[in-house]
Amino acid sequence: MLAIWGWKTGKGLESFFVASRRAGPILAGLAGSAAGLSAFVFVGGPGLFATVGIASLWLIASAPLTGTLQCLAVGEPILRHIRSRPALTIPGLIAARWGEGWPRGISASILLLGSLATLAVQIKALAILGNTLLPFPGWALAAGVITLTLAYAATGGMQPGLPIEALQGLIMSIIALLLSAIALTRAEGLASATTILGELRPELLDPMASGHGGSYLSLFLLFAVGTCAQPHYLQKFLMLKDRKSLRLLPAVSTAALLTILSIWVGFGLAGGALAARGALHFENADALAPALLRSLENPALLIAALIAILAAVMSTSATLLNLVAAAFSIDFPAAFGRGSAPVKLTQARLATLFAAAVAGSLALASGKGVIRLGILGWGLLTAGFLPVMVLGMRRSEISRKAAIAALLGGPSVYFLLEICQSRGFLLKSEPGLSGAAIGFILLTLWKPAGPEEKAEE
Amino acid sequence: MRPEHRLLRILVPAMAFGWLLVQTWAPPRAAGIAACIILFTLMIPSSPRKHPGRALAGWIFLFAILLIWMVLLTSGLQGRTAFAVFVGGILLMGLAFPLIYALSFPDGDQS
Repeated sequence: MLAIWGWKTGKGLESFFVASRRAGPILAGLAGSAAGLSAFVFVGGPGLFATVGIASLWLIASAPLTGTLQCLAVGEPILRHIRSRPALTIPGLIAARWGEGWPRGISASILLLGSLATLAVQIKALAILGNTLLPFPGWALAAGVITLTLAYAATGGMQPGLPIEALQGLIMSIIALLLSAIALTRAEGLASATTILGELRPELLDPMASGHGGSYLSLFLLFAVGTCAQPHYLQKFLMLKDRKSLRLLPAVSTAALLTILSIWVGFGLAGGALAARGALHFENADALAPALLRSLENPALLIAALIAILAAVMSTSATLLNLVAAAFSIDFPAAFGRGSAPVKLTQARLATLFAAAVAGSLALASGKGVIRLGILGWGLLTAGFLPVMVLGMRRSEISRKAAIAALLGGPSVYFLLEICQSRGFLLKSEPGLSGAAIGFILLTLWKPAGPEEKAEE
Repeated sequence: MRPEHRLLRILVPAMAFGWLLVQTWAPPRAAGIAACIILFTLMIPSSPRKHPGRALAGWIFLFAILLIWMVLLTSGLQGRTAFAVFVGGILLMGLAFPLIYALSFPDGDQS
């Protein structure tokens, strides 16, 4: 119904890509949390907790402050910019700041690669879920869910997508809290579960993961500052109806985030305690959540969990499909000098379908786990976008050439480090943060913009 | 070149290089403290706040909570106490950060 409503009411690019810029803090906060949290939380997170313990919480420990951080670091500057230069996309925002051509083209390329990797995470998680929890092949579940998502993402875009994502966020919050409570009850309570872990697996209650804490702290910072660089988070600022909506946005998004993330702690702690007692068995980290759900022996809970996981996957996928569609139908043509040609919604819709196909192929071909694939996408987007979004949007002295250097330099360092680390070198350098650090250096040390360049802006 | 930009050209590369060194060679507590400093630098508002004095006090208060929490968790704390500090700190910050942001949000067009 919402897809049909979106098809009928969504007649323009502004409705397709930024939901007609009518979102208030509740809609944007719930939808933003839903789009930002995905299968990563439901499938990968609890498994990581059960295998490395509370050190895994470093990946989500920034959740209480990221809503506030985003609004301060990027939200307020973005809303100031789009008042005079409305943009439909993040590359469009970058182009409005530094001009068309290279800035837009490079940022659209970064967005494309990072978004496709993150989309592949969702599809892969669905395949795992199908294989472990349902009596039919995982790829069939993945294909079905993505088709359903495409039904509204490709017809109406964010016009139906935003309220659907907000509803999904609410559903995820309620079900995550419920399932966490039930899982902890199965493990005889929070106190009992922590006591069992303390006795049988004390290494799981070490925040520094028996000496490996340094890498987890890097991930803490990556996931904190990275929220200021992920297009599927930033896009929500483009949808806000006014600046006043920012006041309550952190409250709504933080509340939604923390309730959804309760599943990471609840399932992870309960699963870890049960496994330590020998009451639960699973083959690998990704299999913990399905194994724990089966052990609850309650079809209603299984259905509830499936609904929450599907909501998580669909909300993230819809936003990512929209971003990739925008890159193909608006950003790349504009970057190549064809921005004046009118963009038809049909192009955007076809681009959405193409994005789903490419992400699906990547998911099938990739041998990496859900968590690893998620970190790859997040890290690339952080390396590419963090410097220009956090510093470039605030400082008029940052020149076009500096921005291009940062957009190229950050991801280059990122890929170089990933290659080195795959061969066993420079293992302590977190690639996303290192790329962003180089980007910040290039941005500030490059020759500042002259008065003519500032006047053009 | 404006003095602000001159300062940025020193501070930003220093923090960026500092992080690159800390993540590779420093002990976890140093990395954690560096992370807190970086986060709070990013949280310096780009527009004036409604009550600047209160906003500054709030910023310092939040920084203090985050720093204390980080130092506790990187000081060798383990077991159920570590779990309580970890999760309790997350919940406390989840209340404090949005509240202080909302209270210091500038009214009207103060961009």
